[in-house]
Amino acid sequence: MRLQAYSIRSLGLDDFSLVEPVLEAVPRELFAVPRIDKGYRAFVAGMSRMPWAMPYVCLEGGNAAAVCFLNVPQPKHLSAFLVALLARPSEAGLPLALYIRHAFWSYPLHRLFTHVPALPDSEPYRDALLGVGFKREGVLAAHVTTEGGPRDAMVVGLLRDEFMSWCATNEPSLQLP
Amino acid sequence: MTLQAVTPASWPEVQGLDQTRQWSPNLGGAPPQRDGSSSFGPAMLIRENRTAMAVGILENSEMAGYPGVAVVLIWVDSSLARAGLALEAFAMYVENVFASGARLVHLEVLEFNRPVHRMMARIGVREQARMREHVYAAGRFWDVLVYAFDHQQFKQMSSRYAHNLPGGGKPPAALGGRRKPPSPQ
Repeated sequence: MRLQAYSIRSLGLDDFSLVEPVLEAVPRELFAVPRIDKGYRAFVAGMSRMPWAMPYVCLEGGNAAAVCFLNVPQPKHLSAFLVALLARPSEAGLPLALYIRHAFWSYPLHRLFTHVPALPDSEPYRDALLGVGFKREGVLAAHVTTEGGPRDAMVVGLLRDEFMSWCATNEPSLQLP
Repeated sequence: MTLQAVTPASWPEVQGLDQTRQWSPNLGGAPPQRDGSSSFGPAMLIRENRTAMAVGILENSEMAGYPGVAVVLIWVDSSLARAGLALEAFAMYVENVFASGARLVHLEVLEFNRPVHRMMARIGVREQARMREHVYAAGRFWDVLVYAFDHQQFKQMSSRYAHNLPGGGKPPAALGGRRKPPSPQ
């Protein structure tokens, strides 16, 4: 699957060196990513066993622009928690949209959602998500623990129909048949 | 009303409640699995003292990615429980969850579960988020409303209603109580 300079593919056990720059770029308070090869392999192996987890790397040329996967606690609800690790969040709109399109194309998901901690480092993440059609759904007060004390987390969600509308307006090539 | 920790001996009663619960859309059905263990104290049966019957269940788990945040589930069979029992049981259980180390209590409630929304409104807890069309139950997708509060907020809320709770103005002396479960027939 390609879009302009971007493409996506499944994350492999041997991709640590490819995705390491992305993992290093993610603020530690945003997501606790294994940052050594052994931990990464265990992480990806665990992901691969989870239903609909879809661990993927988004590539820009030969470089990783994003690592994304889903957490679907109960498939019957067709609602998946999106984890998107972005090398440069302010430029991540297209690779993110490519992954989201592939998630809706691959599975009968009704909705994606995620949480964004209210931290200065996470503002570009929030903007990237809102930029591909996610809507604000509220704030989880004081849920995030940081060295500076508790912080809020914003809840954002995206329904399948909303993403299709976003595609029609912004990136028609991503529309589903 | 007595809260009694779920143990292997009480699984038949838990399964009986789950049989009813799976036809109730309030929680999107019964949980896919249960072993009686929870992150902040055990799951507990709600037992009516008058009849000694288990009429509901309370359980908790740590919210994924949020250390110290306890997701609490309450389910009461309204055909068996008297009015007000759910609030009493909830207050006792939440006190125990905080005592077991939780930093926050977090509840996710389906939009049409009006008894729980009324309960939250009564104790002064407002929704923090509305996750749109988040759960599939009873043939369609429903919004889920999120509530959360810390121990300090809970103490302020419960002090307003302490006179309605077991023990009056005193905190719950014990969970599980001295009542023995009914003997097998």
